[in-house]
Amino acid sequence: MTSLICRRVLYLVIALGVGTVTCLAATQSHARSTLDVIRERGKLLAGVRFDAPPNGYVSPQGENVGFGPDLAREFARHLGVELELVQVTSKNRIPLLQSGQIDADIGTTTPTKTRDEVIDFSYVYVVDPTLILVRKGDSTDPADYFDSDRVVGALQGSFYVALWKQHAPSARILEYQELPELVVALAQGKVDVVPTMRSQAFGIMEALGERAEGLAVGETFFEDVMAIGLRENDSDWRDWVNWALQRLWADGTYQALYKKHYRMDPPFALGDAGRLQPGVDTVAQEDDPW
Amino acid sequence: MNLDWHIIWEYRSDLLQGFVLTLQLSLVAIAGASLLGTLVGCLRASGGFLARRLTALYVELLRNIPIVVKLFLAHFILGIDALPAGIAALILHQSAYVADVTAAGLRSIPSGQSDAALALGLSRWRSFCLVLLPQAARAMMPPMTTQYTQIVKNSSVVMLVALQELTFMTQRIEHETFRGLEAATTATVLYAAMALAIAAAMSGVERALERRGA
Repeated sequence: MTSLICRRVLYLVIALGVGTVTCLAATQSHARSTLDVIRERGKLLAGVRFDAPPNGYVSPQGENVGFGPDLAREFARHLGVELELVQVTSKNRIPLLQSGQIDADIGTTTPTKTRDEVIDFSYVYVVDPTLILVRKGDSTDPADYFDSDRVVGALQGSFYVALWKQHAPSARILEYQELPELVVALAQGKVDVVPTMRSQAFGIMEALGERAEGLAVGETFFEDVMAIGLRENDSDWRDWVNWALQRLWADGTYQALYKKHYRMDPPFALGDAGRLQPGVDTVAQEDDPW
Repeated sequence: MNLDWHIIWEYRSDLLQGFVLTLQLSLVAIAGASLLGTLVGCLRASGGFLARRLTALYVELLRNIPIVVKLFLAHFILGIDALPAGIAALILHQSAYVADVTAAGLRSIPSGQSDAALALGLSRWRSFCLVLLPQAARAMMPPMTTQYTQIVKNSSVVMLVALQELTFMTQRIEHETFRGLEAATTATVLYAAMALAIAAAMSGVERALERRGA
C-alpha cells in the first residue's frame, strides 16, 4: 500500500513538473511582439464575446455579430491578415490572453487595477452604464438593495462582484458560471437582483421576448468603462491597437459601428483626455501596417 | 515563471471552505450512491423479470444523461435548493455506475456457490447476504474505488448552481489574483489527496474482506 501511495505521489510530481515546464515554454514564446507574430501567422486571433449583445454575440444565423467582432474585422483588414474569432468569457479572457491563444480581448473587460497588473489595456473603447435587473414589482432603485438581505446574482469573474461589494460589503452574492443560468435564477427568485451593463440588460430582455414580462430593468448606479485587453509589456502591439482605434474614429468608422450596435453615439471621446494623438493618421515605416 | 505561493496562504480560508464542502458533498454522495446503487445492482442481478427490466431502465437512463442535465433539472426545473440538488444529482448519476459494478460482481460468482448455500439449509435471503454478496464485494472493490474517485471529481459540477466548492474557490483565486497555476496546482494536490485517501480506505476494506476469507 505504501509503495502504491509513493508511486501515485511520484506520478503527481511528474505531472506538475511537466505542467510547469509547458507554462514556462509558453511564456518564453511571448517575448516577441504580438504584431510580428500576427503578421507571420497571417491571422489575427481576436477574443470576442459570444454571449454579450450588443458587444459580441451569435446571431440566429450562427454568425458572430456585435461591436467587438466588427472592430476585429476592421483590425484584420488593416493588418492584411485573416481573422479568427475566439470565444472569450468572463472567466477565460485573461488566461487566453496570457497563454497566447488570443492576440486581443475585444470584449467587455473593465480595465481594473488588478487586471492591469497582469495585462495591458488599450484606450477605453466602450462606456456603458451599470444598472440592475430585478423581478417586475420589486424596487428598481439599486440603493434599496445595498443594505438589505436580498440575494445578489453575478457571473463569477465579472467586475460586478467587486463593484457590488464596494456598495454593500456584507451582501450575499451567488456567483454563477454562465449568463443563462443567472437569468433563470433571477426569474425563479433564487437571486433578487443582478447588476449588469445597460446594453446587456436590454439584450437579455430582447432575447427573452415574451418571457421577459416577469423582469424589469432598474436604475443606473455606476458607469462602466471597457478597454481592449492586450498582453502585458507589448508596446508595439498596444501602440498599433490604439492607433487603429483613433484612425477608425478619425474617419468615422468607429462611430458608425458604435451607433449600429449600441444604438447611440459614443457617450465619450476617444483618446487621452478625449483627444486623438496629433498626426495619428501618419503611417510609420515600421510596425504600422495600415 | 514567477510563482507566488503566498497567494494560496492568503486564500487559505476560502480554500478550506471549498475543500470542506467538496469533502461533505463527496462523502454524502458516496454513501447515497453506494446504498442506492447496491440495491439497484442486487435487483438487477438477482431480481425477478420485472425488477431486472426496471433496474436496467434505471441504469441506462441515469448513465446516459449528463450529470449537468440532472443538476439543472433538479435545481431549475424541480426547484430544489442548490445543495440538495447537487447531492441528488451526484447520487443519482453515480448510483447507475455503482449498480452496474454490483451486478457484474454478483454475476461473477459461480452459481454453484448459491446452490451449495441453499443445500446447507440457508434461506435464499441469507445465502445472498452471507455467501454471495461478501464474495462479490471483493471483486467489486477496484471498480468501486474508481466510482468513488469519480464522485469526488464530479462534485465540482455543483459550482454551476453557485455552490462554492473547491474548484469554485480555485477559480475565485484565479479571477482575483490571476494566479491560475498556483490555484490549479493547489486544487490538483487537494483532489489527489482525496483520491489517495479513498484508494487507501478501499484497499483497507479489501484486505479486511480477504482476512475474513470472503
